Amino acid sequence: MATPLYLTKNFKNPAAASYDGYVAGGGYAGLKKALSMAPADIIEEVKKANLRGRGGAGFPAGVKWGFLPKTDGPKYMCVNADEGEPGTFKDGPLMELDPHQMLEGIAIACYALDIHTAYVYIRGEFYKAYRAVENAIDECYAKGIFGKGMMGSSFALECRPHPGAGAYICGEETGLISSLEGKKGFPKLKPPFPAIKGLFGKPTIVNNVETLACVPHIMTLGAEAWAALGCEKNGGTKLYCVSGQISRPGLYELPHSVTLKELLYDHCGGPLPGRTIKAVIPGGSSAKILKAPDEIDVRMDFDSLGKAGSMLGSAAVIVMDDSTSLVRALDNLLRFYAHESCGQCTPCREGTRWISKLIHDIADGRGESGDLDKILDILTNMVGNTICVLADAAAFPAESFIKKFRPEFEEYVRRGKRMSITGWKEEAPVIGAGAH
Amino acid sequence: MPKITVNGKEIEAPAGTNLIQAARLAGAEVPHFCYHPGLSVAGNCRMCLVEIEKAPKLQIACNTAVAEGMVVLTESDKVKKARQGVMEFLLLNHPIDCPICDCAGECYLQDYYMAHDRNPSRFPLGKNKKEKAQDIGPHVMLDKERCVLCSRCVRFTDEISKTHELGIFGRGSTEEIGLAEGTRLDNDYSGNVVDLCPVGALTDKDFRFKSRPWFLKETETVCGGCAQGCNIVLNTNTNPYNKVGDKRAYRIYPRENAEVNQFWICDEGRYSYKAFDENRKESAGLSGAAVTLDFALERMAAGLKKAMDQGKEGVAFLLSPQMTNEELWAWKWLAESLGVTQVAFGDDIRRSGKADGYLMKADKNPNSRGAQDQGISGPAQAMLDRASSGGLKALICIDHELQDAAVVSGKLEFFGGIFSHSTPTERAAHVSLSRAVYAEQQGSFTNMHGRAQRVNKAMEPLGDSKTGWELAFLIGQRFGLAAPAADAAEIFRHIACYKGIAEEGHGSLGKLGLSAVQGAV
Amino acid sequence: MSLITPELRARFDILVAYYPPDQRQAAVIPLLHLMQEKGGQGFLTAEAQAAVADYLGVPVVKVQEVVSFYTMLSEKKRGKNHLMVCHTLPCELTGCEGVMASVNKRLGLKGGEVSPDGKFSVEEVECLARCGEGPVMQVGERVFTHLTPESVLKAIDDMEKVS
Repeated sequence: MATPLYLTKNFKNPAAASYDGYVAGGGYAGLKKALSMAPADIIEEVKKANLRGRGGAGFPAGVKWGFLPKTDGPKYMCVNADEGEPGTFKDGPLMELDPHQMLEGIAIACYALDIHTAYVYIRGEFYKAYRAVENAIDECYAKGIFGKGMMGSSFALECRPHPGAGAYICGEETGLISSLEGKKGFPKLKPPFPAIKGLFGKPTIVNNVETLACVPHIMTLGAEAWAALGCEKNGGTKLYCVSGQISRPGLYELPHSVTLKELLYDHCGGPLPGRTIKAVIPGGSSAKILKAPDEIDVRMDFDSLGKAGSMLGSAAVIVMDDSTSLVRALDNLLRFYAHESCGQCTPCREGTRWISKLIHDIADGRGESGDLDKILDILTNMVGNTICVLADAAAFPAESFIKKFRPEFEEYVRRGKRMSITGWKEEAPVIGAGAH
Repeated sequence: MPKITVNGKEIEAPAGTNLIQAARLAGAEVPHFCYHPGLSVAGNCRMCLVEIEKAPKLQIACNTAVAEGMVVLTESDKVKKARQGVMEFLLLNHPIDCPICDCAGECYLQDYYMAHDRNPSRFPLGKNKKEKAQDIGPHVMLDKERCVLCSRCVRFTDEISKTHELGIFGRGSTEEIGLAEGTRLDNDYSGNVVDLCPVGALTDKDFRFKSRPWFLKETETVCGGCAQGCNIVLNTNTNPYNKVGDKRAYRIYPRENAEVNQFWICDEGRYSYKAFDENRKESAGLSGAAVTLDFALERMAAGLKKAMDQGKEGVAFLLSPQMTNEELWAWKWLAESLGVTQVAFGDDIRRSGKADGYLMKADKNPNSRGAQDQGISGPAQAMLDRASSGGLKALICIDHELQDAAVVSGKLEFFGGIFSHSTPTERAAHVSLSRAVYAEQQGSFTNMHGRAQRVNKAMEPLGDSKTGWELAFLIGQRFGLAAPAADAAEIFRHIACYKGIAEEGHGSLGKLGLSAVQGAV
Repeated sequence: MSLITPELRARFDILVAYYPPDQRQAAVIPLLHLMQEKGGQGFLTAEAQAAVADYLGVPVVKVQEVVSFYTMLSEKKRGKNHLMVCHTLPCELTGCEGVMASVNKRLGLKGGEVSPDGKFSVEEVECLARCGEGPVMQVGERVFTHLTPESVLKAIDDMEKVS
């Protein structure tokens, strides 16, 4: 299936990482076109293109842009390049391999929004991406994209990279803003929302790398053509990150209309030899788990997965086959959330650790039969009760793993011994829900 | 004003009021740890979650402002469940060492557990171990295990004292409160973090293990430490059956007054209660030897009379800005009745000290403004010079420390002193009477901005001590003068410059006197 | 202030200029990275943190809070090669436990220890965002992918030879 590539079309062309190489491939044509348009028309175009925010929430990007007040005075663009949702590995390559694509998107967005300062908040561990973006930004200053007079226009834009330092919570947009302000990455109370009071207390738009990387293509293709690449309300192609127990894991650019089943079997080669896929997390570790094969014939767009009781999130697909112990898998994920809770809100700070300890005890063979119901009850005191959604993000997998695969969890408790994460099939015959 | 409904009760609340405050107007108390009206909103404890009609999730009351037509439930099942959840989460790692915790009895965790939780622990696992009983400054001890990480103390040191000693370090459930490395919590307002701490994490070194709070009497009064007149509560205990030793005053903590001290008090004022009974003068004296009050009064009247007989210009009263308005008025009355014209309150020799542009004022007397308002003359140096050069026959000095008390005493025919504490000047007086400290009096102080504020009696005068106005009346009696008033309240009604206040009453927060209202002085 | 060499100061000056003049605190993390990497220690001493705070005019407690919050900033000495082995789900599904066991057997370092020769320290970290290539390990700027218990030993041997 040859899908035309947009976001990743330069990935096999090392020259595209430079300004000249990028321009040779048609780069900055989108910006040129944008600069000939009225800013409001660009926003309208992005709305019509059905571009959904690709950081995880899937909020329509054009609508988000529309929230920014049209006031004078400083306004900021913060690019969320703090990729850290387990299973997600798209923004790193977008910056390492084609940094100008994102920068062009930034330039267009800032022009459309009358923003004159942009910061690219890059995950601290992404040294290569940071350097690639830093170099590309330098080139943009030299080539008259950034600085005074964008492409000969009167529009001025300062754009700077900013490193993170190792904290998942800084991928949350207000946590990111706190971190950019030089503080701990504590998410902020909402309201006020960043569009009104964000970075340094000024109106701010936070957009994901991939979201911005789509913008030049919307300009060059036109909103209708971009929208037509995807499906209803989900325009364009999408980057899917596939990992776990699958034949060909990797990064796939496909139309939004692809189904999870097609993605796994047609594009990724299906399960590993001799195995069957048992469960899939379709949108990063915070998404609710889907059972295979019953629940995976679902379109990989924001709305379809929402209707299926999960979410597209960051489009990070983590595949688990029949060898996987879901108790151990959940133990792993809950340890992650306990480690990454910023510690600000009581229910998240204490709750993530508590459920993590309970599941860990089960995983170690020290679980008790009442623990599962206890966890489910604790979750109800976490979900929706905190400043940001990290507590929810921990609760969703916990709840869905336990509810959908309860017999496997109970079997594990009964066995009362620690098992290897990929040894479930051999060590304990699965009964009930997990078996096919 | 927006109209909102809280638990079915419709109320109006000023725009901008948050739902914790608004609920109070409707008689509902929303529990909270991190919210404090004097600090920025942190919204982290999640205890104040309430249900708002049409909102998909529970909202924190502290960060939600009233809006027209808002329907709020503070006691719905959903709210109760969330609250119980927060309590359970907070108690997971709390040591629950209430029997040895100084905060027991005035702890939010205890109160809220009884009000909103009352469930057994479902957490059999080991609790986080953190440092206990850490000495973090001259006045404050920290127990990191008891901390609920509400960040009130951190916000206080960031926003109010602006000294930035405290922080929350780490992240997640191992996060802990602590000092910045290389610093101590040593600032002029450090004691406030103890009041702010909703649990027993921050305790006061002075108060630790001295008394359980439920044994203490609370008296709303005004700090006598300086001219700011911060509103305070004074805790005392004079019941010998539930305390050890003869300690009477146990602590001072601030009382909210938006016009004077907001929610705070400086450490100097906070620990000023220790001076009440320290080095206290409990009986009348004759050249330093204890005598009965009657005898001393007799001798004081005789000394004054003898001097007045030689000419009234040879007699002077040196009053003090330590005195209440009522005491000052009584001495003014006595001077006028006797025909003594040389009266001053000594603004040039009064106690002075550190000022900081916030609550601490250089004038370390609570009532200089009151003396001014009553038209008592300020400077005393000329009076003292005359005394040292033999130009005066008799001087009565009330609670001033004179630089050359011995010289003054030697030159005067009669040197009378009225003192609360034993001091070199007190001992130099020929005859001395003991005066009640302000904590032993009803009365009023007028702060530097002209606000007359009620001083309430927290304990009985020690020994033979009497209020300054009682002593003035007793001396007057020796001259055949009838007492012009029966109590402090009656005296206050006589004070012309506070007439309006006397009629309306001070209220708990005090009122501006005429001079302040008219912008005089 | 001698901790901030003229070269470092010059780079600090450039970075601070990225932010509005009244928002110098924004540069805390970039400066701490520089201080940690180029300050010569490989970790952030109390003095180094104080120097950054002083340079920026930010209360030192705010800098210390930041250092305590972010995993990449360290107050403890680390090995010349600080091995960050990812142990989040996708890497665990592809065998990071075996990789970690191999690393532990080879280096024998317990929780945060630095090898006696100062060359190695090990940390199990959460997702490094290379999940399609797991198991993954990052050492400074280098990322090792598709690791096996054997290939990780080869990587360690190579590091040992170089340093």
